[in-house]
Parts: sequence; structure tokens; C-alpha cells
Amino acid sequence: MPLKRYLLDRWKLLAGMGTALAVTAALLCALWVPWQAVVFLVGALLLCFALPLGLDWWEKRTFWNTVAQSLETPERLWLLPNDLTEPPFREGELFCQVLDMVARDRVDQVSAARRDNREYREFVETWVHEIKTPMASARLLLANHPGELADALEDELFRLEEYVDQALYYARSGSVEQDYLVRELSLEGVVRAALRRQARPLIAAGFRVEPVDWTATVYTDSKWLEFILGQLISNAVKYRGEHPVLSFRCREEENAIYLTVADNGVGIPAEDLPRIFEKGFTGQNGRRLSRRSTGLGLYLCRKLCRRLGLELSASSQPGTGTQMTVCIPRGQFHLVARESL
Amino acid sequence: MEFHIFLVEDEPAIRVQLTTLLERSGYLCTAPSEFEHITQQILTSGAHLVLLDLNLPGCDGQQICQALRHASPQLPIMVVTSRDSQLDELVTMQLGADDFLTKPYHPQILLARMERLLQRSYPAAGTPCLRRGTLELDLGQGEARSGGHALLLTRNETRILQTLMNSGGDIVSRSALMDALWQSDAFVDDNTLTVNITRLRKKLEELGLRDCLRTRRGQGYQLCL
Repeated sequence: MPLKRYLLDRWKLLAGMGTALAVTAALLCALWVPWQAVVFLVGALLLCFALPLGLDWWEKRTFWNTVAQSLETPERLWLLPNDLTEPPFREGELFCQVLDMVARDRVDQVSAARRDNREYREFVETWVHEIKTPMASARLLLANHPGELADALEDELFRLEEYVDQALYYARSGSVEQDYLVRELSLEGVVRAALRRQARPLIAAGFRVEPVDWTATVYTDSKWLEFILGQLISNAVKYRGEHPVLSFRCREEENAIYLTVADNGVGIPAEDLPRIFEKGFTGQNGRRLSRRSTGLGLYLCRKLCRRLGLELSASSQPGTGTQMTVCIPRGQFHLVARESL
Repeated sequence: MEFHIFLVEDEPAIRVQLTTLLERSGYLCTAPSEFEHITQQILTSGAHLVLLDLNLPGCDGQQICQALRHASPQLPIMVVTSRDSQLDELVTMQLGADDFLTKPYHPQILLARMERLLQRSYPAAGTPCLRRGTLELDLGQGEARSGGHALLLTRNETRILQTLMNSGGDIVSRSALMDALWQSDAFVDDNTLTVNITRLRKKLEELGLRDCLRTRRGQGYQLCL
């Protein structure tokens, strides 16, 4: 608290003191008191005023300086009650009490929100677990009664599964806990698993898939990566062109492996490209082709990638095709996985 | 050889459908609805393979698996769970299970994995064979035999013929055939399928089976033996 500001706040008091000194001096002079005595008296009075003020300022200075400084880091403001010692004046006391209560309330609210979030997530996990039973049952029924109806129903069952999976991974993407397990995987194996899973829509759309033959291994969670690849493949199916082709490329660098999923579909318009990972973004393609688009797919993929320490990027040439690249870093996870097993 | 499968599944609908599926595929199936002393039941049943659902109400599927493995080190055990997380995979392997599937599984994948596990565990039983009429398909060697003649088939041709033979004379759609190929990692397209069917047809003719692989316009293919 700068001294100037302190004094400025008490200008009424200073004005009063000044007036008192002036009146006293004038009165003494009028009473023919020698000027040395007047000066001495005024000086003594001044001291009696200035000393307490100075002391008061010094006392409050530390307190208010701490408060002023904390404003520079607003995100840590809620920790302020810990840094302040109980001040010896009423305003300071009240201030401390209020601050303490606000900080406690904030902590309570954050805990409550976290708890709600965790409970909801646990519900979703349980729900997904339970719903798999009737879905398995339906699958078996269809396998035992093949035919046109079964074929059509299998398509619907597949779409059901995709949405259930999306719900599960959406819930997992928001949790603080580590729901994934990092292991050494064959990249080719993960791609194949994703292709097997997406077989129905790829076959129905008449896709030609270029063969994959790599030896590269990566360290990540296979189920999560499979899900991400599945979403990318599903997009390639949604936004395909004529004679659709799906290809995979693997580029090995010293620090990372780059897996690219490429298609020859309608592509993404240049204006839309920077926004495709936004939550709820459907863009021109999403609306024009009037296909059901939640706008969540890519948003979820990028979120999941980041949680795994991967990165997802896109490039596209409208009318020619799109390339989605997953960057899987090498090195750190390798060591973590080795140690934890 | 007819393999005996012991199924431990508490959900009645799944139990019934799975039994039907297994029996249609030529297996003998025991599927109790009560699970008291289930471990004992399994060991005395003489089953060749156990299909165990880990999520049984009132019993600990993991415990059952461990007990089985402890009592019978050679018995093939396949575990089914609805927890789709790798943590469970590691745990079930540690329990001594031979293979692991998550619900909802592709029934074809279940059958394929069971076949593989049975072949591995009972090599003396010979390679599995499918028989329809005069046609015999050796799945292990990929050989088709009929009327004293034998021909080697490619992996794709074997898979196509297997799917047709398993359908019991029903019409199988092109997309179902392609799906069967894709599930064995052969990501073929429409043209490739046509080429494979043509080649298969020629080979069947060489075996003396003329006009058995019929095309049903707009519906698919049918094996008439």
C-alpha cells in the first residue's frame, strides 16, 4: 500500500488535523505567545498526529500488500486465506472471514461437481456393460436365423453398437482416472482389427482397401486406438466419392510413428478444415450430404488422442480426398510400459 | 470327431441361442441353468472345451476359471466377458484361460476361435472337416474332396466354401460372403469376390460337382449338393 494512497484515503482526517494546527497557531499568535513557542507547539502536535498515522500505515501495509499481490495470479486466489495472518483491525478481520468462507464454498462446489461427474461416468460404464447382453443375444438370434431380415437387422445392430461405443468413450474421455493400458502393439494388427470391425459399412459402400503390410510396433492402448481408427474409417465411409478407396500409410521417424488414414472422398472445404475438431461442428459436408452427423466424432477422437499422448491432424483437398494422421510418439511410453509390467 | 462343449452362461436367451449355434455347427453342447458345484459338473462331464461367462450372478467366474485350471491343466477354457478393457484380458490370461472374447462378439469369430483352440488342444483328432453330401472340405489343409478326387483351395476359396457349406443350403448374400472374408483379414472388394467365386466354381466342376454353386440373381449364392 503506497503511502500516498493511504494519505489520500484519509484526506478528511488530514484536513481536520491541518485545520486544528492552523487554528492553534493563529490563536497562539493572537495571544502574543513568542514564535519559538508556537513553532515548538505546532511541531509537537504535528508529531503527535504523524506518528500514530505512520504506525497505522506500517501495520496495515503488509496485509494489504499481500492481498494486492495475489490479484496478479487470479487462479490461485482461492489459496489467499492460507497466506494471510489474522490482522489486528476490524476491516481486515471481516475481510479474512469473508475470503475464508468463499474459498471453502468454492472447494465444496468443485468437489461436488467432480463427484457428480464420476457418478455419471460410472453409470455410463455400468449401462454399457449391461446393454451388451441383449445385443449379444440379438446377434446370436440373427446368426441362427439367416436371411434377408437378419441381414437388414445386422446393419441396425451394428449402428447401435457404434453409438454405444461412442457413449462409452465419451464418458471415458472426461474422466481424470487412467482407464487405459499402454502395451506394445503391432500397428498392422490394430488397423486390421479396426477394418474387421467396420467391415459391414465398408463392404456396403463398395470400398477398395489397399493392403497393409508393416512391422512397426507402437506403445498405446489398443482398444482406444481401434476406436479412434474406427471413427476415422466411419468418416471416410460417410464422405466418400465414387469408386471409394481407403488406404493406410505408416511413416516411421526417430521420435514418432505417423499413421495416416486416407480416402478419395469429397474432401473438406478449406474454410471448414481448421474447425473440424470442434465439438458439434458439422460443416458444409455434414449439412449438405444430409447424413446424420453429431459433430462429436472428431472432437472425441482428438480428445482421446491427447489423453493417450497422441496427436491427431488433418489435411484435405476438396473433391479429391482427405488424410487423417495420428502421431504416436516413441520413447516415454516405452519405458513406462516396461516398468509397469 | 464330435466335440463336446460345456457352456456356462446365466442369461437364458444367450444360453439358448448359443446352444443352437453350436449344435448347428456340429458340436455337442451342455448348458446348465444352475451353477452350484459347477466346477465339479464340468470336470465330470467329459467336455472337450469350456465356454465360461465371467459375469455370473452369485458366483465368481474368475474363481471358477482358476479352480478348473488347477484341477485340469489341459482343459481348454474360453472366457467371455462384457468388460471391454485390456485390464480384464491380462487378468483372465493370468487365471489360466486359453482365450478371451468380449460381448457382443461376432458369432463367426467365436466359432473360428473355438475351432482353433480345439485343433491346438486335440491335434490327434485330425484337422476339422466339413461334410455336405459328397463334398468334404478339410479346413486345416484347405483341401476339397469329392468322389475320390482332391483339390487344394486358396485361403479365400476355402473361406467362401466353408461359409456356403455352413449355411445348410440357404442362399448366402454377396455381402455375407465378403464379411466372412473380411473377418479373416482378407479385405477384398466386389471384383475380387466375383473372381474367387468363378475360380471356386471351376474347381468344384473339376471335382465332378457340376452346377452345385448356383447364382441367385439379386440374392447371392447357393450351394446345392
